[in-house]
Amino acid sequence: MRKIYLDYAATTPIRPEVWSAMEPYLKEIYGNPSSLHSFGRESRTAIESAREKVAKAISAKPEEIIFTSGGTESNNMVLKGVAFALQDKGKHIITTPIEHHAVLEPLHFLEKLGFEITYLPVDKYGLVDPDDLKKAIRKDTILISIMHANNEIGTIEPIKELTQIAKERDVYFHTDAVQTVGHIPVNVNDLGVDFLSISAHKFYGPKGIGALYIRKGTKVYPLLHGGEQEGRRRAGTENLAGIVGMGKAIELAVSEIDIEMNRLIELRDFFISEVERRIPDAYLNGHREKRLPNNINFSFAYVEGEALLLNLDMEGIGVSTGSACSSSSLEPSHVLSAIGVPVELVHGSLRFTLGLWTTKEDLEYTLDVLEKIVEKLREVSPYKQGWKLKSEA
Amino acid sequence: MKHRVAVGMSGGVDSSVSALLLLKEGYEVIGLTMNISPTPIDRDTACCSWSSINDARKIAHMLNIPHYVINLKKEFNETIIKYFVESYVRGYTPNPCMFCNSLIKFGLLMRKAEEIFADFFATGHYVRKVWDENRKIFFLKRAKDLKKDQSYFLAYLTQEQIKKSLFPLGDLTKDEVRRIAEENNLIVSKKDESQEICFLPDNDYRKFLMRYVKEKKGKIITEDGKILGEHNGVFNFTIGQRRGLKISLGKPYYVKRIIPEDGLIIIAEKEKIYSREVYAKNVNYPSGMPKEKELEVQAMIRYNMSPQPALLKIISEDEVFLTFKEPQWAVTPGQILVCYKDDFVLCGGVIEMMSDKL
Repeated sequence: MRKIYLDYAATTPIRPEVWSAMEPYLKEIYGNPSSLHSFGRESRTAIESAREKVAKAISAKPEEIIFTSGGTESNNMVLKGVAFALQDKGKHIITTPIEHHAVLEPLHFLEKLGFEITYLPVDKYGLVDPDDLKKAIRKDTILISIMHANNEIGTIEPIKELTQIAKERDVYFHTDAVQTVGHIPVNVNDLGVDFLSISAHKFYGPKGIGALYIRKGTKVYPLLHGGEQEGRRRAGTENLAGIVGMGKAIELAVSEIDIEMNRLIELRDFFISEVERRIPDAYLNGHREKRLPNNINFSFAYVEGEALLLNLDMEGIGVSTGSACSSSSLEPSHVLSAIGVPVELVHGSLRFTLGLWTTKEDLEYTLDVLEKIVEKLREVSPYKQGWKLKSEA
Repeated sequence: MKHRVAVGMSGGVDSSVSALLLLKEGYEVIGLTMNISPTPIDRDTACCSWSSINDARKIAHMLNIPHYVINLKKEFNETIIKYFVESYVRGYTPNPCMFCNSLIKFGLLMRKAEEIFADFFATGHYVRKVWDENRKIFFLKRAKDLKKDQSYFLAYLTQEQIKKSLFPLGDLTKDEVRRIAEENNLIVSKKDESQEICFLPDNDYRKFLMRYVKEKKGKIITEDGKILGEHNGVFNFTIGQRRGLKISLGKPYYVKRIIPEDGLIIIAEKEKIYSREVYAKNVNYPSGMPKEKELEVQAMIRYNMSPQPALLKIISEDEVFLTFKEPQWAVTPGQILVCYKDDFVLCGGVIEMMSDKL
């Protein structure tokens, strides 16, 4: 069976070059980077070289990068680390309702500890209005956390405008850039952020490794206490091979970013216009232009996104409903709910995310299969007659 | 083209062997496992626990079939858990497995099977599906292995549901199934038979109910109105119960009736807990109503009994009145009456009342 992977936003395969770069560090090079001997030094050199690559990719200084286990840890460290470090100044944090669970859940946890969270409204594309941020900042606001681009609908937030407001009021600004680094240009100075979360497996690096950009002079407590690794900001023996792989992956991704972006935008827009032309009652979620180059998210009326996903899977096509992390739950996507998509359409949503190995031919094949499945499912859909699954029960 | 079958897989031996047998028969098999656990319990015997879902994943991987875990937590909570709690509050003793089968397993999960265009939905139930050529209708027949027969739990299925179902284990004994599983290395974890209610931690329904209902004190009285004690809520009791009465009268007393409106638990001596007459409502006929309004049947009022001879009177479309030949112990409102004609399932109904008449 032909296999087509269209879930690159969930994770990406490791590039062969990345694997080659990592391999020696899983075999013959094994020294603990903290050791003083030659074995340790060799590992240390590799780590610092990777740190430089990560720093360069986002126009940061190497000492502003710490390696973590991934996006979730980076987000947790900023949110909890800033909350604990600045709680004497205030206990108010601002965010949006469309953040990833790796931001929302740590904030729910902080809420239980007495912190107050404000969720900014978003428009029908998921965009934050800078004026709303202006109004929401209070004297006791210690942190603003707004994602660079949304993982479900691909909407890119106006981070630059938002950080200007934060700066005027002297409030730290964090952005979860897991979906953007390696996919669109990211420059921490241009964006004006104080913290930025990165995950390697979203740009053809290995899983279990990520980074956090911490602007020099910014106050944050560590999440993990122990040894003196990462400038005492993240204890634990470094994930050597992972770090090397991440360095290689980010270097490759950034070097090809313009070509790949343009290629993906063309494919994305082809797919969107074909779906709209061929499948009736299909609604694009998210913004048409302010959108990740590889993200397509449609709601198909009268069908369940999950049913579509299973049928596509049986045809060898891997896609997702909402984000991969919530795909095993039939709870309506919190992102689509927040941007005001009607409940029936929330359940009928499907995300296609493209990547390095996606070809136009793949998309043409997918369109053929998708068109057939949507039609077949609509024939048996209880929704079409105005029923709801619930009332059947 | 191959027929496609979706198999409801619990990770246990029975549904795993079901999937295997269907594969051997040449079907295209797809595994579906529902995730319904409302609480993060993890008993190995529970059909919906996390480890069971993982067992199902392993089996599907071994069989090299696609496998999907379907989240039905919300739906299960809103139907089965709600029914379970409300029954006890009303002084009834519910049978959640019965309605999980008809509404969730053969309802929503079967619906998923249809959405992946499966021609059939199969399970590991010990029951037989039989085609009646004369009446052009399917019947549910008791399994060949009478000790394992699970037709009781399927009495609320409709003809449509039966039509789309396959029961590959109906002609096999449990021992045979176990042997097949062993020969094919299909046992992923040693576990006991799941006899208990899957969503109850430690199989303690009273502790579970306390999450949903408040204690409400009431009196324990005898049939002639003598007050013998107090209790913390009628939901702690079921007909025939002896435990937890906390009274000593020299001889054992048992719960005979529950009157939730007045918070009363009426107790009596053992011989008064038997009844012969049963009135049941919401009666379902999986294969249609019989022509006769009165017929000799074999009937069960709980799963753990063998069918007993009785006379069934069909009062209306959804009401029956049944008279057992011999008095039966602890006929319980809320429990399910299932009647068989020969070995075929005739009907199932919710027990509403029983009479003392012996």
